Amino acid sequence: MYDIRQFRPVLFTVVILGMVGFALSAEAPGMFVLASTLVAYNLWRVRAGRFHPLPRWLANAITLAALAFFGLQVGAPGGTPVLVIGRFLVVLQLVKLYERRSNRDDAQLLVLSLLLMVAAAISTASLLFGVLLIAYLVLSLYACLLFHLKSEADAASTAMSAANVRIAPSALRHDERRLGSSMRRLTALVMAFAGATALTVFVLFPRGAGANLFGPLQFRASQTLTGFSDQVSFQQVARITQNTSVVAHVKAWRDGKPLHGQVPLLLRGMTLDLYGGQGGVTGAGPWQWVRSPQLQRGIDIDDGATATISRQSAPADTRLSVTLQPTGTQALFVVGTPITLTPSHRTSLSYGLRDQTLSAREPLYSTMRYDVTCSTRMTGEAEPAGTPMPFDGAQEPSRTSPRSNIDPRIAAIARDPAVSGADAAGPLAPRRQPNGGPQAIDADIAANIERYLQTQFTYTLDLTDARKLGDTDPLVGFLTDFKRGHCEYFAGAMTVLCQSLGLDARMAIGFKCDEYSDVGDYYIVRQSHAHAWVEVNTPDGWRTYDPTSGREAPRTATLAQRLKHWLDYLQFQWASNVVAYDGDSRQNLITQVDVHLVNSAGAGSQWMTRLRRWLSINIYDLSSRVLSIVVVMMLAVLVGAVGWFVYERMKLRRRAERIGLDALPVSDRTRLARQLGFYDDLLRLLDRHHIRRPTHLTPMEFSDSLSFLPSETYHTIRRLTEMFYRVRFGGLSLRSDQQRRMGTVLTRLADEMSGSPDPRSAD
Amino acid sequence: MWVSRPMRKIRHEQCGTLVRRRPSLDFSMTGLVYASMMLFMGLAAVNSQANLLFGVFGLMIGVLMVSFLISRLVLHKVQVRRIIPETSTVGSPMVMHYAFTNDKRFWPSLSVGFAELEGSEAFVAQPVAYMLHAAPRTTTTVAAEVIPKRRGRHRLERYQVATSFPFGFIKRATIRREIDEMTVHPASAMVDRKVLQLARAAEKAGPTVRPRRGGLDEFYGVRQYRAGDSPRWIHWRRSAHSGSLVTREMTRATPPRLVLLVDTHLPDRSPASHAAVERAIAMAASLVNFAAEADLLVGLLCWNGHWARIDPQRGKRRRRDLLAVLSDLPLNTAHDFQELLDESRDVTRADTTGIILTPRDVQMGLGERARGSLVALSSVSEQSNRWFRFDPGIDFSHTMPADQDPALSTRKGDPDRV
Repeated sequence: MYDIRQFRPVLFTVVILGMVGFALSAEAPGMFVLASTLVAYNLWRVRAGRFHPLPRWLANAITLAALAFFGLQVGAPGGTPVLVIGRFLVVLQLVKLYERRSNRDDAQLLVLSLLLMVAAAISTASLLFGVLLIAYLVLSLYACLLFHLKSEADAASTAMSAANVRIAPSALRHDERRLGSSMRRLTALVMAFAGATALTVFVLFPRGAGANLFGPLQFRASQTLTGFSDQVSFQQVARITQNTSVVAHVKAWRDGKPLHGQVPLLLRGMTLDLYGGQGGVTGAGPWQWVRSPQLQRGIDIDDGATATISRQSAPADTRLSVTLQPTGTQALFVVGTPITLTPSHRTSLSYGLRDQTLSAREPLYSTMRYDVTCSTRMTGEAEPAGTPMPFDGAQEPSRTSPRSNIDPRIAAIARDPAVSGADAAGPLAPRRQPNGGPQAIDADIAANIERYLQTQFTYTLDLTDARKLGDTDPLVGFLTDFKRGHCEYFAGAMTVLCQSLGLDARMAIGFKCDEYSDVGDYYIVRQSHAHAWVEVNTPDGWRTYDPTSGREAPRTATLAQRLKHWLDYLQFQWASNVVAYDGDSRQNLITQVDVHLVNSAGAGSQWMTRLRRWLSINIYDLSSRVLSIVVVMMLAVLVGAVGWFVYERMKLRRRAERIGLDALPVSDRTRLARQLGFYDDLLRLLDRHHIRRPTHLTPMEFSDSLSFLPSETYHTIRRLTEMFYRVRFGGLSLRSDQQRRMGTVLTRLADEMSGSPDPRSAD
Repeated sequence: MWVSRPMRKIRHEQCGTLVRRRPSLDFSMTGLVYASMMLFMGLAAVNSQANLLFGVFGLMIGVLMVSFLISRLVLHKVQVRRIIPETSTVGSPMVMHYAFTNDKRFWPSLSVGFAELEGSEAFVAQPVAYMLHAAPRTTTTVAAEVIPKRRGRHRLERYQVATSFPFGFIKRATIRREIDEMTVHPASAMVDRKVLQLARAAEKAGPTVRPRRGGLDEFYGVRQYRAGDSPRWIHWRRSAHSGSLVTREMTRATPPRLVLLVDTHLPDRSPASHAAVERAIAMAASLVNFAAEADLLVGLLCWNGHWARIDPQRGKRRRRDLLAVLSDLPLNTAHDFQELLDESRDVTRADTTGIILTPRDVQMGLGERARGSLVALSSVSEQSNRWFRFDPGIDFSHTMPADQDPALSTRKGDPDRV
């Protein structure tokens, strides 16, 4: 049985779901644990009968204090208003929960919970939250239905007792039979209707107009990436985490063939070539890496347009389709040098001519999709000459780049033949011409240094050694002392080793992605894939070296990984089709539907034309055939109808004989046989249980003789017999719905009798 | 059909019953708040361009639209039948029932309210009832408890069936018509037994009346002691003489035959006069009830369009007849107390006690006319207040039928009344 008392648990569930949703959105598990504990404690007190509502003045005081506290936080720099408002709503809900007295408080709780979910919906694009939101909406609609019934029932009792009448409990008792089934039907109707409307509005509501009408309430993360950063200082221990959240999904083709995870992708986001060392250099503090100033090309691309990014002569051999989640940074990730780029919406970009990296003008706070063709051969781009090129920034940067501040001990290590290598002619390092630009020997030196680091050093995320460095250069400490570290140590060390020997080297940072999803046919780029490697300029162009040792991920896909890929695929579809649904998607959808309808109409018209033509040619044959078929069908129908009529008549006659109506005139017999079908069914049912009416007994006497049957069965038969008399002798005519009801009673009776032991066998 | 005005409150008269009638379609305050929230949601969606908010916004629109649909569905194909008691009493709670039949094949009806629109003046408050649920093709019966306010025959005609299901945003109501009648008896009081002491016993009226055993009055005889008899009544001397316990039997007085002479004459139409007459009628009804419970013979003489004479009889049927007459007593401004006394000569026999219930103080001078067989009870006397204890909540200035209420009568004649 189901009653309005279900409202309370449903209300608590709705409140907790709202808090779960917000905690998920704000990534605040602590707040969720605290709030849920308080809600559960409140529920326990209510169920145990120990709940005493907070005094109103205390609740108001807490609310005012919370308002002041969160009001200050909203204005604080760096704060996200919608999250602060969400936290305030959580506090308000807890206060309301503990001062709950009447239906009004319940209504306020429901509204606050809905507002909390709205705040959460603004701040997240997670699939999990989407699922939670759907569950929440279904449950909250159900809670609203129950709440309405409860409040109306309470209001009715209040209205009925308005005249100082002491209401008898019987007057307030409600019929709750089949209430559960009724509520399920209505909830389904509400959900179906409301869901259809929600889908319609979601798909067709115009997007874009009115955005930021009331200011930016959206979630603005300053930097959402944890592994990737444009600041490399070796000291940010907290940033080096195994965060597995997804950064991007990448579909890749090489030489026109899709890549199915055979090779890892090195997605470049940024390069750093200036190391500050102990004293720092221009633009770089101590122990920091920065990007040296260089020429930037500004590019504005319209919706769906393709822009040429780089003008290098190497052909594009790789194509990527990237869906980049909001990163909070400006970097766009490509493999090698980008040649052309097609973004999903209007975008303004900057392209570094020297390091061939792409970046957006504004940090990315929403999902961005772009197709890019790249060349894995990076030759850099010549300084612009002849045609003027737009430069990003008012002042053209200096053509002579500053150099890294490299510790002499690093240079000494680099000159060591065990590090930079040697051949039959002797060590390689001394043979290199200083300041001579890229030389043939550079590739060998870089390869030797890469091999040296890969073999002599250990990869670790344990940075306890780095904390003990004090004022020592971290790279010197890495190369001479602890000899273990993460990829930034390896890449940084190789870069400075190369630069100390005069090589043109830089550290590239981005993602090394080797996780491929067979489900969605794409690479999954996670935060934990963030990586740093080295690029060295050689006569053949910039070559990539990855000195980091022992970081290869296992290639075998376990069941857990496959499951994870499935979830990731769902998340990707959710993000692509729901969260990132925008005006273009809407327009595409409408256009597709329009085209489909037009095509269908055209196809239908053509089909009709062909049909008409065919008919005009074959009309005589066709009409004669159709006529024959129609005649045959009519004859068949006629024969069938006559057969059916005769069969029904026979059935009625037999039924009339069984009931004892055979002495009546034909018209009465037929009418009563139709009406008294239920009694015939009853007799046949009893007959199946070996109970037969003797011919000398009237129906009433026969029903009286069945007192050995269970009481309920006996009374049902008795009522049916009385109905028989009312029809047979009382002139009653049963309507079709009454006859159906009789059928239901007989079915129930059959169930009862089949469930009980055979009454005759008991004798 | 839209009805723009809010819920109408009709206060018929100063003494009338507040009748609430809902418009056929209306937005509730909850609905307005919801619509505001929906607009807020739409603005938030447009401002943030968050797709989930567009979905929630559409959902809210859908919920509002489905509210229109379901509220109509709830009242579609339903039948309501009143089940009211045949009689009731002023000031005593009574229960009316509404049988709600949902003839729909699939959809249930939930949260339906009923309110009487006409005939409510008979009650302290407008009869309202609430039905939580009626499954498809079932009949649900719900109760409405009310307190009748006026005696007489009352006609219930139009009533309203309303719902705000499913979310309380939209209120929809329909008015139905079904005629039912009920009789409300005058208020009944707790009657002090001292009233009967004024009435003489019937056996004193003549020598042929044979005393009956079973009372506590005088010695009647002895009989064999039976288990359970009080030891106090054992006749010890006879017991000792006979050798077995015998017990005394006493006679009981023959109950008095009562004829209630109800004076309903109104010298003026002031509320005080009306209240006094109504109180006298209620005292008569109380005596009828009291006499019936005590198994007494009771008759009636009063002006009911003509001088109605009902001979003393006992039994439930007689009680019902007497109360029906008292319920329907009309406005009497012509036939005064003297005329009543003149009429009473024919009904007060030697074995009958006539009890005059009158709104005036007639203690003085009554003795000459009573000849020892008439008892006068004034409804305005202190003594009657002690002997007849009515519910203090009953306002006798408005317990007459609505067509006799001076306030209502003047309003009915008001040509400006809409």
